[in-house]
Amino acid sequence: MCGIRRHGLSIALLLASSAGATSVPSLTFEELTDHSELIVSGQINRSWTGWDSEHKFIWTHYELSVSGVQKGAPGATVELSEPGGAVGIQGMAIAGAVAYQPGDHVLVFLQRMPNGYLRTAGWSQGKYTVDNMGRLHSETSLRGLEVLSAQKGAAVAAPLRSLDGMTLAELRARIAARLQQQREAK
Amino acid sequence: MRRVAWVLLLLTPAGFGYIRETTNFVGSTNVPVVRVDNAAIPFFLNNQIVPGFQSSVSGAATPNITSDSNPQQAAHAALATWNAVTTANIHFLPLQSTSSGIDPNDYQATIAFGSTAAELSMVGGALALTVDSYVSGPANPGAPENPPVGCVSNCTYPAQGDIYDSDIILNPAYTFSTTGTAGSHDLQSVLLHELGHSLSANHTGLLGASMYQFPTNRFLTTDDLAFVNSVYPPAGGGAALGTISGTITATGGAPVPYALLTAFNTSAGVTVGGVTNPDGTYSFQVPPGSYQMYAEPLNGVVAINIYLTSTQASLAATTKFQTTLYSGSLTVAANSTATANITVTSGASSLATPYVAVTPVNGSVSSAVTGGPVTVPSGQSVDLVLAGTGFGSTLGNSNFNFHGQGVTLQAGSVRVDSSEAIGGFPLLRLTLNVAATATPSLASFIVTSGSNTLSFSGALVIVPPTPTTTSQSVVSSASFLGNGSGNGAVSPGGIYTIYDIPGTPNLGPGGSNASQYVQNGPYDAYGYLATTLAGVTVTFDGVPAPLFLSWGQQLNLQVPFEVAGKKTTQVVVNYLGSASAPVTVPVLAVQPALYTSCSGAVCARNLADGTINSAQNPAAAGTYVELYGTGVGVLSYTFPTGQGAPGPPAAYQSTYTYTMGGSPSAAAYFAGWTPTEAGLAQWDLLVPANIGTGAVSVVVTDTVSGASSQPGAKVFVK
Repeated sequence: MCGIRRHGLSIALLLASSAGATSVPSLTFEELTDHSELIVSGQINRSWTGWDSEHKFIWTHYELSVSGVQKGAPGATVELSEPGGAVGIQGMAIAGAVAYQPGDHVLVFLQRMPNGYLRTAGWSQGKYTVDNMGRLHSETSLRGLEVLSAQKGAAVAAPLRSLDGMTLAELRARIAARLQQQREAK
Repeated sequence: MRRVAWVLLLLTPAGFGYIRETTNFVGSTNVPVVRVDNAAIPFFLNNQIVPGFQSSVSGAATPNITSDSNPQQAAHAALATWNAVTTANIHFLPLQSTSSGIDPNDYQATIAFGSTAAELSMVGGALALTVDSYVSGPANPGAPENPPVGCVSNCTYPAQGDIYDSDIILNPAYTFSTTGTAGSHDLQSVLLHELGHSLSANHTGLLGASMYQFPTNRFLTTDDLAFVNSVYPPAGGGAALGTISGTITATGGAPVPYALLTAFNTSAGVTVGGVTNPDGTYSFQVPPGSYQMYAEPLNGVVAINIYLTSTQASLAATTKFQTTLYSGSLTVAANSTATANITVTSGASSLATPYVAVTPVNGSVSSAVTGGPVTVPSGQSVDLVLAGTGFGSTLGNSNFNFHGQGVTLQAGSVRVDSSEAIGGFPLLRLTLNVAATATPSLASFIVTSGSNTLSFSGALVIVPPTPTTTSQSVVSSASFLGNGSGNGAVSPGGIYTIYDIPGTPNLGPGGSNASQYVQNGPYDAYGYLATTLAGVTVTFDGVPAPLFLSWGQQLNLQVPFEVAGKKTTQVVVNYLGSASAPVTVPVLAVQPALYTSCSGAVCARNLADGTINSAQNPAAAGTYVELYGTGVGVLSYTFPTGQGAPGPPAAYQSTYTYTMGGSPSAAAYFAGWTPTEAGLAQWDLLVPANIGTGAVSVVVTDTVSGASSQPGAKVFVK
């Protein structure tokens, strides 16, 4: 064996060797709200896939029929887009990409991308399913451990997990408070 | 000199229980995607990714790659970490360099920063993402839009779900480093995660796993191994595995879809996660052994990205349940199935997500609270600190159950610490006794308070103990001598060995098991040796050293040329995130040393025919012998640390003399770095006449410094 000895390393061993998703930062409620151009609730009507304008990436597009507006000024419908999907016999899979189904009742935080698309903010962090009782449920658990650095005595930003289980009305009030806070800051 | 690729790989337990990427998009059939070039996967690193790189589109004031980082080495190490899984049929080829950027349709797997609107839109707010281009549509659909690369006729077209390109887009909005710079993200752990996606792994539910959505590890956990072991078994079958299967139901018998499952074998250090199907059933494979298992709700502590329709989400919302342990223990035999059905306890938990930190016992949390999984150095006692709703004085030891290898809760140690607070919550401290381990593993814990539970699956990343060494233990790998006064010493560019403190083999993998040392692979496509090997990094004044071997008792490395001109250097050993205290080691300009322990291989060659010099093959007088060693320091021709030496220029003059068999001192024909090798030196010497036969002593001396090689080196003459 060209092995190791407690007090020595064989030269053979030496010569042989010498020869020789998606990672998504967690967002706070304030960050999510501030970064979103639109915050709307409604129902997904339909979906379709297509190449982007450079014919480089495949995106899946969704038409959302807007029933409630928490931030921004959308029309009656909003087109939102998520990376990935299949066109013909070519597909693109992106771990962590958000998907919707026609018929889904959702509340979404939407961010404008450089290519002009409106996309769910913070990946799945910006998507909430609305149940029959009007409560919000995160697609992924956002009640997870906080991913932040806290300094002793420093204020800790409101964690996003607190939205899970909230009603639409409660969320609307919270967003309004945040927007008011922003206006006053200016 | 002939290069031999000699790779000794870490033995890693096999497992199963994973979540795969699929073709699941709107209304389509859910087919897993998979690599078909899994045995030889080429990856290219964009050549703009260098220390100090700053994207023109980032708008940031700081570089995207910190100037003290080595991104090529980070990428190389990430590839090597996946390649070290010997129980799966996957292999990434040596990293190659490219000037090409991201193109998901060019059949070239590329790592690059996003630079166009299209790419920046894809990556969104993520640190990075992987685009896996696959064949959609029915089976055997023929080529995508382009035929396979290099194929002109009779092409073998991929089948549905086959990945034919993977590109990793790094987000220029963030700063990456390989040195742990504050405010940066660790490039190696991010790439390790993204490469998992390129193999078609999706995100897992175990907080400390590399494939968790917020990766922090430079190593793979048993859960990550579960994926590759199951999806890419070696020809002829992989490791012998058993199966755990069953159904998770709610009270009344309704199935629980998308429940997270954690199975653990604490004696073997295996923790594997999984998730139930929409009908509440599950099945996953694990190494044989005794297991415990529990189910927890998807919307508990653990974040995982599983697509749910409104109906499914509503179902999940209305089937809140507590973390529920399987009531028995499971004995899993190879190639057989053990059944574990769990009826979960209904109801939402009132325990809210706490903040988590690990500190020294009674240590301050001011800089320790990071949230997410926490790293726990083994071989010591630490405080686990929790803060959140329900975490107060009503909890005691009996409310906590820890499930991990060598992790125990110290009796009577659960206590409230009101001296600090996080988020308005007081701190709840628990002291954990963590036995020393030579390999990293995950541990989980469940908190039970009345009828409420909260589980932290894979939240504790148990890593080997903090490395310890001394300045006396840093010695030449050829002579095993320090500076002659009992202290260690190094010279620039030389190959050196760092020993552990006897009895504490904590420098790298394997503890004191000599069969578990890990050697480096060949030079990468950039011509550099890796500076991270099996989780070990060694720095000299912050400069990472190329590593030849990692082991609990011994590290072999090249001392960076950057220490030249210094009187001392500070050496730090980092193993899986645990850093040693710095040790100060003297720096010598040169420290010539000859290898004497060859175990049948070369210490010297007879240059007449290139054969190995030995008692049976001595050199004749009037011929040349070539002796190998190290420690010649900075010469008149230079080259970067970690790269093989170039050939000397024609005008190069050696400064060495030598004596052989008591002969008068004579000038060496050549003395310098061995071409194509990093850290290896050679002396080409004429065998004088009339020095006898057999083994004769050789000493080489640098005439500038007066430093000589150690006594005892010999060469065979006839």
